[in-house]
Amino acid sequence: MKGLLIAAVASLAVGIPDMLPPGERRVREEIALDWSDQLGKVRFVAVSSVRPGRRHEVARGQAFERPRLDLLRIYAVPVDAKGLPSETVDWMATGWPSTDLPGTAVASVADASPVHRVRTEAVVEAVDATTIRCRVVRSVQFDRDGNEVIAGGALVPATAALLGAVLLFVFARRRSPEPA
Amino acid sequence: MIAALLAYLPWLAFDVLVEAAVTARCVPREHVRFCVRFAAAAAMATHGLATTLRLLLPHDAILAELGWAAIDYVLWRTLAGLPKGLSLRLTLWTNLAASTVAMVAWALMAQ
Repeated sequence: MKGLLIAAVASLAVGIPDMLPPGERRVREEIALDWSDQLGKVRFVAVSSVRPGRRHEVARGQAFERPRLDLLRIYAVPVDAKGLPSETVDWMATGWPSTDLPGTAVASVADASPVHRVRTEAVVEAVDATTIRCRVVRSVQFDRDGNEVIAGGALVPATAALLGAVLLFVFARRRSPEPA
Repeated sequence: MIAALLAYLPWLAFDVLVEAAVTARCVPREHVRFCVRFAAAAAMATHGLATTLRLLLPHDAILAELGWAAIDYVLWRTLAGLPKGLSLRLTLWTNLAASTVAMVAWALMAQ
């Protein structure tokens, strides 16, 4: 029972997003947002939820980083708006349509993974009175040199798994008499 | 491919050694030989499977950890034919030892 409790605590520890389990490493995450001119006269600004005053003007189709320890919210700001708020609460008070960053954050990848950067490409479908509707088009993974990663990086561990499975069956067939 | 091999094999070897060593301490003396070989093969199979899943499904670290332990238990119970108590004990101690030692090694390397 004691072992079970310790195992449960250890398992929980690796489940905490900011803790990397052994054999894992972080990847850089980017978002690229695209939209059509038909959306009207708006521009998009990514605003930090935890660092007051920190914001990023979103350029159409150009990737920007998804921060690890921050939550960005995208606001559709009228192009003629003057003087952007500096505090998060003030942004919320503007009533401008907003949304969370599209896509799911990738917490980490296995050390053996060739992936060093993940880019989520999304498109703004509509800007309603209160919200921005986005659709994730695709998620692209890049290696250290900036080349797109093609599936196949899992070949090494998959081979180890297969070899282990074969050995398991061989050993099980030669099993010694039932242990007491 | 070579880089992936070099990055992955030390973790695999590490896990296989730790699990085999812990198993040797947990089972009756007359079954040590079989159980240690079985533990090494099981560690290889489950570590390989868990890492493959992590590469294919990069969000599910916790699921891979728990699934890994569950598969270990099933292997000890069914394929090795060990009693429930011993299977559970082996599953808990081998996984706990492997995770703990790996975490310490990883923390030291990250310094």
